[in-house]
Amino acid sequence: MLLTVDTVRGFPYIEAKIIRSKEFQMDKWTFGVTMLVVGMGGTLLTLGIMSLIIALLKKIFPYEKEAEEKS
Amino acid sequence: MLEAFTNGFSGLLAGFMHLQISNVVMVIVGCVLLYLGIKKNFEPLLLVPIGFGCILVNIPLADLMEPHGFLRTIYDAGIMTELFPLLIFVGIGAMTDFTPVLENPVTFLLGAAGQCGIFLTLALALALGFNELDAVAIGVIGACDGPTAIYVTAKYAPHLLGAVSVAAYSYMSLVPVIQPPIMRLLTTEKERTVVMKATRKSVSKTTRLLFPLVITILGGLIAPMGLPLLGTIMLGNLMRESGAVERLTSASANEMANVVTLLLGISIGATMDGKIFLQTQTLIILALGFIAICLDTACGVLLGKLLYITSKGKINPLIGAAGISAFPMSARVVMKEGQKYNKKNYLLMHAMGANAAGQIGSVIAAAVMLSVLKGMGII
Repeated sequence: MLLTVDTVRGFPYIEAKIIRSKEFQMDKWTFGVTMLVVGMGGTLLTLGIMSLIIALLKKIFPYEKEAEEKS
Repeated sequence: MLEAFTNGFSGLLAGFMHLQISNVVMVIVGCVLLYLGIKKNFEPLLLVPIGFGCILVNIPLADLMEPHGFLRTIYDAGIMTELFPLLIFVGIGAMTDFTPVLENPVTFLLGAAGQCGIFLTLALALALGFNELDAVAIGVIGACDGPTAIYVTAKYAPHLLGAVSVAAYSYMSLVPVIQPPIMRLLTTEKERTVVMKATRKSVSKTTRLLFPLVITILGGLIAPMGLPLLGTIMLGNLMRESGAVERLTSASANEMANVVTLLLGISIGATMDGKIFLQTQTLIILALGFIAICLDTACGVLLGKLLYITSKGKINPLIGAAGISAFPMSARVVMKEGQKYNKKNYLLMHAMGANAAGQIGSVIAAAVMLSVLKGMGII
């Protein structure tokens, strides 16, 4: 597969490189399936990670009744 | 003299002379929206300005949406710049208490399942012949989240803004009608009667403060294209939880949200020009929006059923239906439905968790979708 590298210049000297296949073209079917799998999968994964982080935060900073009431 | 009189009089009749059937139909549509908002109390804060904007823009020769027309000025300033939906999000963040979802983080998954309709409807719209960006805008109706739908549509398919916004807000208000039959269809009576334990108040202030920061940074890194949506809702929530800027929190949740809602509503109504709105495409979009919300509900309930099985019957699958962004209406629907089968069943706080997760889920889904589109080079 031919690859092309797009360089995106950001603030102040950061360069991000986005690699994608050259002459990237797709039909509607490919687009739809990609959105369904990557989009829904990405949403599920992101929210799954968030739920784990919140569970972790709750363990690190447990609710303490007296301290919370004072604050 | 007579000619001057005739010309002057013709000026008074010009509006009637230029009135087209499409204008008349849209004035009726505007009146229906006003009726739904005022008499039926369906999302009145939005349907009233949208309905009135629709009537205004369909009065011929007023040119309110022509360059320098007052509706066009509001539209260009707030919709085309994406400013209004983002300001609304600051207000939503300032108004929303995310504690129920923090108490039970697993409900984040229900908030994800409640977004399935977005992606399934997107695929359906593609199959019906819409192009990629139009399909994205139609799919996002399934977010059940007006500002998100407006943000995405104004940016990538502005010609569909009227239809998508009306569909999003109308169906949100119809959640109490749309959801219960699907909930009943997909669950057994035994599942619907499951009593869930009362939640404890177990979230520390530090966790509540770190929540908006963590979500913003993590969400922004995963899906940078959606950071404006995520960042604004989390800014509002940080202000609320910090308690340090009560004036700003109150202004965001009240004055700013009210003013922007008015301007947002009237400028969406202004996109409902009969010549553009009255097309077969609009009816298809309205139908697809309905399907999107049904699919959201179905997927949420199905994940709820999975959690019911994995938790050995401790989770009532009905709360899955609240994984959409219609907050807090959907949670109330779940509570009501649960009590129909077991009067001692108080599902409200659990459903509120799923509902708050749905609010975040809709923003994350839109953010992920935009970032995937960017990655594929579509936008």
